[in-house]
Amino acid sequence: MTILRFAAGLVIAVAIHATLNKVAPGTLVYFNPYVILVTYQAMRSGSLSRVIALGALAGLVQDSLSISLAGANAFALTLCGYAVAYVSAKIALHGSVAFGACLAGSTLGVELIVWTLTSILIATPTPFAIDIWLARTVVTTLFGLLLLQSLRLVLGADIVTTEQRRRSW
Amino acid sequence: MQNAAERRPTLFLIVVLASLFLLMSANSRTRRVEDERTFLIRGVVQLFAPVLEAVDWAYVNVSDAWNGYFDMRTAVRENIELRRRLAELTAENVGLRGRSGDLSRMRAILGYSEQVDLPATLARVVMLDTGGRFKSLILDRGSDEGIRVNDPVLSAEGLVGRVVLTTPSVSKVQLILDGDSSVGVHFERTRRQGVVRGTGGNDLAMAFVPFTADVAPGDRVFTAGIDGVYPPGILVGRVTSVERGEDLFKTVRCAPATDFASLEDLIVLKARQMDPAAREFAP
Repeated sequence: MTILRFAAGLVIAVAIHATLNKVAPGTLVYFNPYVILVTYQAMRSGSLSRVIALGALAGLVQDSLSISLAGANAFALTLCGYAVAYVSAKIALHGSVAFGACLAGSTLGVELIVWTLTSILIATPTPFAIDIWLARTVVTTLFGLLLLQSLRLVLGADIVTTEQRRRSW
Repeated sequence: MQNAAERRPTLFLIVVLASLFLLMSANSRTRRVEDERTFLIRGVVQLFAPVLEAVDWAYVNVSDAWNGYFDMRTAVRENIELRRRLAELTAENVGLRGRSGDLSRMRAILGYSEQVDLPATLARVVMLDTGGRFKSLILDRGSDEGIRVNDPVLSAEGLVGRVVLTTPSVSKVQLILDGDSSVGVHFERTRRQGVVRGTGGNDLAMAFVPFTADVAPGDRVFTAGIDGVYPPGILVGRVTSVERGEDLFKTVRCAPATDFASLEDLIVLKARQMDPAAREFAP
């Protein structure tokens, strides 16, 4: 069921990506739908290994739709997804504020990791665009919170409860 | 495998990260563009191609319906204007036909061969990625239509880029704006050759233009056909600024001829079909 839910989420993320690309291409500089998906799954799923696999898959999809360094976003999303899942389980994070904080941390973390990897592996210099990263973090976090509220209203879905997460550990 | 991964998530994380790092190393930007080394990415693109095409289809239909009424009103005005332009162009065409005949006769006298016409296909942009450092787009035509890696891609205004990856139904194009893109060019006015590179921003930079070279803002830049990828004579852009650079070279900036913010239908020249040996010389 988790896999199906994630697959549907991935298709929606790609659809949002493609739609924004058509309607307002400039907004994609400030928005990353794949981080929202992975962070949500990391806080919702009780299984670390599943979060690792899902993070890698979402990142590969993101990489395949651009000509960025293949695997860089997959690497970053896997690492950030794992970190969020680990921390949220240990400290028992739940609710919108925790989700927003984790999402902001993940978005910034992904940018930093991708920048580090491209700086190491690509000969030409990569600009350290902290202003764009911060803008992307803010917009992605706000959009993610909006999406979470919509999911709660429409599906009644919520971030996993503390008890469910403890059971998985 | 699932159980082992569940028991030891940290080990699983290390294995996944190591695999991804190997993938990155194999596909780092120093790579040559080849289909064989990008099979994983091609598979993922192919898997999600229907989503991109569905979004494109929905967008086209919704925007058509939205704009239909306004288009109809403007179409009437445009129709009147176009009839007037048609009359002008018909007269101009008659004159040009006469000059074309003269040119053919002169070419025959001088022993010039006619310029080779490359086969081409029209493709629609389904995704454009110009936000980050890497600039690319995805077209709705792929290897089933005969598109190959390194085929040049043009818009009505000028050069757009080259194909770097194909699947049966879609293909991915590296834009000339990309930080790792290079195009062999010459200036229309002076015929001096050079290399235009993407800056990763919205303009182009020309490398290795000698300090003594006669270059001025406004000069038009065309492909020179020296790089084994782009045929000669395609408009690349126009010089916007010329400054004294480091050592003995000038710093020349160009504005691309193509407006990358509004790309829709593009032309893919099937250059590889005409000359299979050309791929060996591709960068």
